[in-house]
Amino acid sequence: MLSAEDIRVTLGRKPVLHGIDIAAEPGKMTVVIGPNGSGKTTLLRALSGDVPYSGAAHLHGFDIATAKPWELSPWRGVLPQASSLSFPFTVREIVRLGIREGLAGGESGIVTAALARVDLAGFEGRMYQELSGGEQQRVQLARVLCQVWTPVAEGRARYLFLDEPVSSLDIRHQIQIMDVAREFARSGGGVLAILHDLNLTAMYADHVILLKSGHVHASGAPRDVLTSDNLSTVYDYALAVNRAPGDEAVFVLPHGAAGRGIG
Amino acid sequence: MTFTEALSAVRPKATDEGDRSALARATIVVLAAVLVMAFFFSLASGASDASAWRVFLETLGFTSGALEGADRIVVYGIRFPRAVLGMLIGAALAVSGAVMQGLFRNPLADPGIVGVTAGGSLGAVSFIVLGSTLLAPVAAIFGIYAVPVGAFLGSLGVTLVLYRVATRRGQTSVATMLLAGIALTALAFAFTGLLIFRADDQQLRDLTFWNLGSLAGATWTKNLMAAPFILPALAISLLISRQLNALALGEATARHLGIDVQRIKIVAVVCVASATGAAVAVSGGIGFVGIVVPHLLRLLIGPDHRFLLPASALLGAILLLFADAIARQIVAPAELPIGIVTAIAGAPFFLWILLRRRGILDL
Repeated sequence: MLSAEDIRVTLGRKPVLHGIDIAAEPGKMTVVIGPNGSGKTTLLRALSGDVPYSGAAHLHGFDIATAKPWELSPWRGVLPQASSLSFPFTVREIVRLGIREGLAGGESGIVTAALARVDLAGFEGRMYQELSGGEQQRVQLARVLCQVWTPVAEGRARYLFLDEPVSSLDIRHQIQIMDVAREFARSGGGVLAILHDLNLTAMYADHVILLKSGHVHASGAPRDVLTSDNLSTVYDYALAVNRAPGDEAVFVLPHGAAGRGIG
Repeated sequence: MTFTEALSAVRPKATDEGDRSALARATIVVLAAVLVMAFFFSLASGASDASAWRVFLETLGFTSGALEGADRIVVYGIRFPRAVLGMLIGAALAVSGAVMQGLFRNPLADPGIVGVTAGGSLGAVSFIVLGSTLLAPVAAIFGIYAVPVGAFLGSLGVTLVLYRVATRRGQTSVATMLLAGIALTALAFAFTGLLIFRADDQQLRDLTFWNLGSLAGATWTKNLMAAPFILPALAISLLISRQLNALALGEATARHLGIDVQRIKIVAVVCVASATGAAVAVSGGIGFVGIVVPHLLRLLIGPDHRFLLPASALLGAILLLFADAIARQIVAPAELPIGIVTAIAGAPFFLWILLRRRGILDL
């Protein structure tokens, strides 16, 4: 179980998070949304142990602030927004880095399976630095998947922390990667993802946390959080939430732009 | 079977696409074999004539008395300790380069280029010149190890300052690193110059030759001075090779993968300072080995440190034996400082790397 209370982060002299409460349950897709600068990435970095925070954050009883890196690594993988690589590794060599020692045996099988999951079957021999941005992002996701290969271990859920996992992907791969994350949650793992796309959020989230200037503006089921009122206030822009005919899925249209344009 | 054929025989099959470990292992075996040959050629080559084969047989005890008189003294008394020292130094410099590049996440980091060698020189010269006066109490504690300890401390100091200056939040700026290296080198040279000013004639002669980098005067004592610093540093470097791989993805990602990044960085810095410092202490500033060797090997077997580090140790040792052979032959019966040979070969190579990376990397 991942839970955090009253998380506050100050970067430099600027307070970024002002007391965030958050819980990401196993088996669910928890999605954090909010405008640029609302503190989404900072929240994820705090929960990954990358930035100091005040408040309490725990993953399966480990205090994230004080736990050793190797205590947390079996329980959560982190996909950062952007990755850099300093040496010319092949795709296989990168993905293999996600496999922890002692997990050997079928190592190459896991690499191949992970690459297939992110639609990069056959990319093992390619040089990472020669891939497109979207392909690199999916290689990194394959590496993270290797780290938490089985969603549940010793009766406890593993977690995927995803910071804008589909930001540089085309529409098909966006859906594919979101499906991978959902499947991970359906198999008992936990997913905490930052998304920008409100429609993908509506489609995939089980629980939505809407951030505004370092505060939680709203939190709950998608249909309760994704309302015209909430979104228009937080994004400071007229946004209309509609229900798709036939099913109950919500979709979001930028109302103001429509009014200003051809309409 | 040619070398290329041997390599293609172990080239990964379709299912191992992207896995260069078989190639890397084969390369290490080949390098080890070449090193053995280079070692015996090094024992045999020089002004006194003794064939490598005869030396080989005699050394392994297959023949006895094939080498006589002066030959025997030259081969075992002079060339043997010199070849061993050359291998130690070559391995130390190449592995230091590779580890430093892994630590700074940059293939241009090299102890010689960023001032770590100069810091080691300053530390060593301090003890050579002041060892019997100002630093006498300290020198007395460490005995023959005073000079390598001084070099180690000098190298360590420069590496720590460099890391603090060039790295912010786990990101190393190449430009800052190289410029800080220039400043630190200049500073270390200035203080070294100040010390040389106070040196007496005998010390001065030692220092001049030593500054250019040389294996001349290699003795078992020098091997004993260097080995306790170099061998543990090499062994410990190998132990952190997996962690250095993860570090290539950035410090945050390495931490997410379960690595205590802070500890690995400290271990890497101490290893580099220890190996570089000891190398400088006994042989002066032999440059460019640390940048040329890992770079060539990365082109061949890839950047996986589990293979890159042992392969670097072997190729570094080979390279130094060859450079030493050239240094001894080219102006025989006199000999060039080996640092001149490695600089003449290595500096253009460094420029070539810069040319290749121009445009890929902002410098």
